[in-house]
Formats: sequence, structure tokens, C-alpha cells
Amino acid sequence: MKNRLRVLRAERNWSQADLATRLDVSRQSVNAIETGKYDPSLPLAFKIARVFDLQIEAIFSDEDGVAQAAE
Amino acid sequence: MAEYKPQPLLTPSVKRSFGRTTFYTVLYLTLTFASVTVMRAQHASGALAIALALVPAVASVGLVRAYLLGLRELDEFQRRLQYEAMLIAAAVTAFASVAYGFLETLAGFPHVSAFYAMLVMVGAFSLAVVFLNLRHSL
Repeated sequence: MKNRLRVLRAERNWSQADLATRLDVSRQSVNAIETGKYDPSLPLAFKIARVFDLQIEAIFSDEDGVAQAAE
Repeated sequence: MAEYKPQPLLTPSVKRSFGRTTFYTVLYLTLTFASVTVMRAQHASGALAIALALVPAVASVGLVRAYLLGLRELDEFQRRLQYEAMLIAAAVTAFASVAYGFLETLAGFPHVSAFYAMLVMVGAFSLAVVFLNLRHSL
């Protein structure tokens, strides 16, 4: 799963630690999500969407779904 | 890009977890020392020896409780790392104990106390935690 977390965070001039505090998770977790090493649970994905005031689809995209749609 | 500001390493939950673990570790060492001392002084045998040998296990239960309480205070990603590390440690311990059991039985290797299974598990868990944290932090 791809995500735009790093871009969205940079647009708001937030550090990873800032976002981690807003999400009530560790900075390590934010880093793992940003680098695609960890896909968040649905509740955390909703929380991320709320923090950025966006729809989940505007932040996360399903690579398999995109590939299937392109076929 | 926003400047990175590190979060404090000793968050309140880490401090709580460290406090609980330290308490039960000290309790474990104290009970073990007391148990061995009484056992030797009384030349305990039979039911008394069994009871004294199991006294430190009370603190072991506390250590497991402290670990589980600490686990619940972690976020979902950190918990996943802990689960993975625990799975690796369990697999390493199972493999090591079965493999050594065969070596002992079939190849005449010296008998090793079951204590060492715990040491293998704690060692494997610690290494796995460090490895997984490094892998996901880079």
C-alpha cells in the first residue's frame, strides 16, 4: 500500500514527532508507515485521515487495485 | 521538510514499564536467594523442597504480568515488533531445545539444565527486538 504521509506532513511543516504526538503513536511507527514498511490498521488509518482532514483514499492507495484497474 | 525533533526516550509508559519490570526482577532475585538459603540451611527435602523451589516462580508470574502490561501501552506497530520477536524467540528456543535433546540422547552430549532454555529464549528475544527495531528504523 502506498501513502502520501510524508508529503502531507511536509505541507503542514510537521516533523515525524509532531505527527506521532497527534496520532498518539511512536515516531518510529510514523517512520515505518511513511517508508511503506508498515501498513496501519483501519482505526489508525481513519485517525490519520482525521488529523489531515482528508478522506482515507486521498492518503492511501492500493497498489494492487491500481494495477488491476489498469489491466 | 520539517526538522526532526526526537521524542523523549523515557516516556511515562516506558518509565512505568521499567519500574514494574525492575520491581519484579528484584523480587525474583530476592526470593531465589531466600529460597536457596532456607533450602540449604534446613536441608529441605520432599514437599518443603518442592515448595521452596517454586517460590521464585511467584515473581516470574509478576514479570510476565509486567511485560503484558507494558505491551498494552505500546502502539500497534511496536506491538507487532514485539510479537514478531517473541515468535522468533519461541522458534529458536524450540529448535535449540529439541536439537540439543537429540544431541544429548543420541550423541552423548552432556546433560544441560532446563534453566538454559530460559536463557536462550531471553537472549533470542533481545537480539530479535534489536534486529527488528534496526530493520524498521533504517
